[in-house]
Amino acid sequence: MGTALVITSGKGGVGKTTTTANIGTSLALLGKKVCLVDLDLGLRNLDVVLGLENRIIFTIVDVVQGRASLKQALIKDERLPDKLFLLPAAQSSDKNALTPQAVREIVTQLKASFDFVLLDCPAGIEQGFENAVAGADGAILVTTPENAAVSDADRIVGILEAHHLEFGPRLIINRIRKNLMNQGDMMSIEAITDHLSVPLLGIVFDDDAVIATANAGTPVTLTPDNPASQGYRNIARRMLGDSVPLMTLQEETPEPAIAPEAPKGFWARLFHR
Amino acid sequence: MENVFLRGRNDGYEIEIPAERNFEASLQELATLLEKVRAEDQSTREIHFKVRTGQRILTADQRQRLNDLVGRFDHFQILEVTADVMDQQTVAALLKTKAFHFVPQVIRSGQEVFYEGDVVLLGSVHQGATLMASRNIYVVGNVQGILHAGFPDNSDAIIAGDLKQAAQLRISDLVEIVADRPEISGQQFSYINDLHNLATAKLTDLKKIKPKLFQQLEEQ
Repeated sequence: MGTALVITSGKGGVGKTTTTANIGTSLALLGKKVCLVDLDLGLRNLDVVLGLENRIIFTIVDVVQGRASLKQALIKDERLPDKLFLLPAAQSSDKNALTPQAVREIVTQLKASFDFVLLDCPAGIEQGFENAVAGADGAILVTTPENAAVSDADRIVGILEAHHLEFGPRLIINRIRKNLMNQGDMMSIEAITDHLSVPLLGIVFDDDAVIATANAGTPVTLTPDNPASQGYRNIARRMLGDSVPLMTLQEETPEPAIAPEAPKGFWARLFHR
Repeated sequence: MENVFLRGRNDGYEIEIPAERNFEASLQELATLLEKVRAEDQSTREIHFKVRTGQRILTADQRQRLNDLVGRFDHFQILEVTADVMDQQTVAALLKTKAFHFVPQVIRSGQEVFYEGDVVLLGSVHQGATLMASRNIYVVGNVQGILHAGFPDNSDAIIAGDLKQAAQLRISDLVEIVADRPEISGQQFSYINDLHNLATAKLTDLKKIKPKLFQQLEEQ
C-alpha cells in the first residue's frame, strides 16, 4: 500500500507542477513506483512538463465517468519504464467533473499498486483543491521566498489542519535566488520555516535549466549535476528516510553530490520505506 | 402557618416560600395571608411584595400562578421574585464569560477564532488571521494579524502586550491600523478612553486607567 501526497501551494506559479514532475521522477530514479495524477482540470500541464502530452488517450474524467479503465488511462513514461506513470487531467470537461469522493476512490486504487501517488493540485482553494486534498494522506507545500506566496501557504496550512491528514504538511521552498537571499532582499529560509511552522522538506534553487528542461519536456532531475536537480533529488531521498543536509546558500561551493548515509530516521518512518 | 412566611418591611412585604414545602400548600396559605393584609389595610396605595423562593427556582407555570393569586387583590403588586440558587445554564454562561483561555496554537491566514471571555495568546496570529475575544486579550506570542477584544460591543476591554507587528487592533466597534500609530510599540495596552477613541498607554499605567480591571486581575 503506497502513500498519496498532494502537492499544493495556494498561490499559482510557484512551481507545483514542476515540483510534482521532478519529485516523481527522482523517486522513480531511486527505484520507487510512482504515479503522478494531474488534477488541474481544464488547465492541465503536468503532461507537457513531462513531455507526454501527445500520448494522452483517456483522462481521469474518462475513468470517473466509466469510459475507460484506470489501467487504460495511465501513461507510461518510457524513460523510466515500469516506474513512472501519469494519470492526466481532462482539458475539455468542466472543473466540476470530479468530486472528492471520486478522487478518493481512484487514489485508493492507485495506492494498491504504487509506492507513491503524487497529486498535482490546481492553484486556489476551490473545488479542485478540495478534490486533491480529499485523496491525500499528506501534503507537500510549495512556496517561494516571497511574501505573497508565503501568505497563501499559511492559508493552505490552516485549511490542511482542518482536514486532519494522516501526515502533517512538509515544506519545499522553491525558486531560491542565492544572491538575493544572501543580500537579505528575499525572505530567508529560517524566516519562512519559522513563520509557517511547518517542517522543511527541502529547498530548490532557481535555475534557468528548470525552465529550459520543462520546455523540452524532460524534467530537470534527469540532468544529474544541475543544482535544481540536486535539490529535487535530495527531497526525494529525504522522503525515503535518508538524512541529507540542506544545500548551501554560498554561491561558489557546490553541494556534495552524495551525503553520508544516515540511519533510518523520522522520514523513513513517515514514508514507511 | 409554616408553608409560607410573610414579613413586613419598610418598603412593602417580603414573601418567603420555603423550597422544601409543597408549592400548592404554600399558595393556599399565601391566599389567606394576603386576605388578612387586605383586611388590615383598606387604603388604595400600592402594596409591593418581594418574593424569595430559597433553594428553588419557580417554573414559568408556578410564577404565573403566583402572579394570578396576587393579581386578584387590587393594588397588590409583585416587585421581584428571587431565589438563592441559579440554574445550570445561567451558571455555565456566567462562567464562560469569566473564563481565561490560553491559546498556544498558530492562527493562520484566513482563520477567525473567537473566545468567550479573556484570552492569553501564547501562539501567534499570522497576517490575514483574526483572533477575537468577548473580553480582554493579553499577548505573549507574536501578532501580525488582527486582534479584536471586546467583541462585539464591550468597550471596557483592553488589548495588552507587544503589538507593533500587528495589522489592526479592534476593541468593541473601533478599529486602529497599527502602522498609522507609531506610539504602539513595546509593552503597552490599548483601551477605549472616555471620548470613545482607541488610546494607548504603558502597562504600568493600567492601575490608573483601568482600576476596576486591575483589581479584578489582582484578586484572581
